Amino acid sequence: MASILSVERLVKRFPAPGAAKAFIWAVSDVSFDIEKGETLGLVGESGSGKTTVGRCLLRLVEPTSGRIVFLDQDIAKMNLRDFRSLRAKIQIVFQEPHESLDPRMTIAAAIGEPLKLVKHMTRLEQSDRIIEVARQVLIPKEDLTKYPHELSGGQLQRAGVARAMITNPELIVLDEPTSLLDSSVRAEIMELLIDLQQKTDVSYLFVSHDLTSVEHISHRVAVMYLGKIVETGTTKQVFEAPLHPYTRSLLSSVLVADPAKEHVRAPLVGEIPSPINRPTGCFLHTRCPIAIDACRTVTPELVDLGRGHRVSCIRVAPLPSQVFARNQLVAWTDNRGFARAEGTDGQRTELGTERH
Amino acid sequence: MHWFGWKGRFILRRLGLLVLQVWGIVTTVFILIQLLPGDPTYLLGGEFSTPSTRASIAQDLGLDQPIYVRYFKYMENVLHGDLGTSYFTGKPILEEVLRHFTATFELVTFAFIVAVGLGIPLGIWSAVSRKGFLKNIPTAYGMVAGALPEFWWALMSILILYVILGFAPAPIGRIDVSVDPPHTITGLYTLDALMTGNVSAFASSLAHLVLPGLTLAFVNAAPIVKVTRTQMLEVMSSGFVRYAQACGMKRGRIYRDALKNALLPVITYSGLVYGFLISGAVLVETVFSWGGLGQFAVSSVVNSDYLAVAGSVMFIASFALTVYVLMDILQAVVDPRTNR
Repeated sequence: MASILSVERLVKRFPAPGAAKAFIWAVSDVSFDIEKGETLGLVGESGSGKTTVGRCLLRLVEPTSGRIVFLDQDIAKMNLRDFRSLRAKIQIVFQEPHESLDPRMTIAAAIGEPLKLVKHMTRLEQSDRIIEVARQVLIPKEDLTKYPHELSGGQLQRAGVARAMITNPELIVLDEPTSLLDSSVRAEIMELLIDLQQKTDVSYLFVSHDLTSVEHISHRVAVMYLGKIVETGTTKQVFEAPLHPYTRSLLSSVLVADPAKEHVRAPLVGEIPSPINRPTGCFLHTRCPIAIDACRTVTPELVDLGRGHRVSCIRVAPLPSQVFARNQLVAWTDNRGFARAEGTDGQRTELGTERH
Repeated sequence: MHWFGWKGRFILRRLGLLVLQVWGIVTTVFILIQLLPGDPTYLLGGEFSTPSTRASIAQDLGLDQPIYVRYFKYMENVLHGDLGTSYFTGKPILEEVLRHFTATFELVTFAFIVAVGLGIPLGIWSAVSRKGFLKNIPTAYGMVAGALPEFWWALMSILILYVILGFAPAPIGRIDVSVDPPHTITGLYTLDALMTGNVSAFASSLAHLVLPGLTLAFVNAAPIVKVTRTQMLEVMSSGFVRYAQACGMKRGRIYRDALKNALLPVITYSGLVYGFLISGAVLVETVFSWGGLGQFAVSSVVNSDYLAVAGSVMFIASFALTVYVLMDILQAVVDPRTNR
């Protein structure tokens, strides 16, 4: 299958307020692909840069460097007038349903807003399309003439989804679309998104810190820490056999509903470092439970441990050139396709503890 | 049917509240006046008047009556539109108040239109401009215009535009002494002159209006700029604007949609400014010898002309309240969120 989106070495830095030469490094060197009909979950704490990645794709923030190849065109440096013709193909749903709809527009007008991007559509065709999309997202016809303040958060988010779907996009950036909703409403929206994807083969970039939602909707997952992807793979690989210490701690913070499952707590110490003064070497070394001296100096790269499960950690996935003394962790892929890691001294470290 | 829905009830309630507020004002004014120092019988009878003369003056004015009798008598008169007679000029106070009010009204309305016409575009402009230097204009303007009192600006404008440059007419009154005021229709000189086709009176009254009007507008536009800018910035950072940007909507269109949402609080705020100006213009009126209502009220205080003070305060307060009510109603009518 062909990728419809390919992000290569994306960097976004903002000038730090108050400091002349300092920068906030929101995104440092991020690469990923999304295939047609696929959902990539982008996970991370607030401040990890995941939202900035999503916004770069729509040029809501201008990327500093890197390529964003969407439908075989690099949109990162494309001038905005040329990009306008592609806007209909890449859409976004925001987090705040109340805020992301104009209080002075009816629901129908809001849903129809992106149709201004599509030329050659009569008014009748437009209203037909609005009604059609509203039906797809289960917004009752009588709600179309209402204003946003008259609807619930869930209904508004349906309108947000309808608005994104109306131009038949290839890719929708879902920027934490469910994190402000009640859990029952959240489940409905998730089902709606999955259903729409099956019907239209649209691709999603699902940006969220809500791991349960990400696991539910994503085919593949990328975990971000301080503007970098630290681990990526299929949802199964990342959730069932996480390898990077950061992913492991992130996952261990989620309560597991099944008491038969072993619950490993692997907390990180301290706070997330400032994106202005980032640590040297591996960004996690200041908080990592398994960091060694080399982590402070060596910048890890994403290493493929088989079947697309890639990890950026010299302790788990050392580059061939990086050989460390004693207790080197070795990673491999087991017969079920999951990556595993174990110390060379034969002892299982905390990292190697299996999560069934 | 729609009219007697949510909005109709809101408007009725608001009007009912207005009646209560005005009653409160009349009562408060009455009480405050009783507390004012100074004895009008001295002023009218003279410093060396005998106690018996003063007693008979007090009797004429009804000042010997118990306070509640005076209160009910006063309320009754007010309801009949009788605000009493000025101790000082001997004219009915309502007539005096209205005459001075039209002067103030003309000045303040002119200033208000200029302030809004200047403040709102400047606020929008500074909110949407991305260049650093434009962004700082309203802050600088607010500091300069707000930090120095109106009368100082009034004096400066007279010094520069009248004394030095000689552009402006002498800052005395509403029209040149040599020009006859236009035939009174509305009491607003410029409007009356226009309606009667009196060109020289129009030119003269407009020329006299410009300096005090611009002074008031200059000072009072500053907060309007700020409010507009803040509102506009807030709306521009909200989700639906970001979405419109994500869709690549034309910038002008985005600004227009944002403005619709930002303008409502600005309208409310402008109403406050207008209501305030009616009494707040007094310093500028004094500098330009405008003969407005604020000036009349102040001189009435100095003269211990109790009833005139009461009449002025009542009129100013009721006018301001009416403006606020109209703003509330306008807001209710315009805002879709108050639909039901």
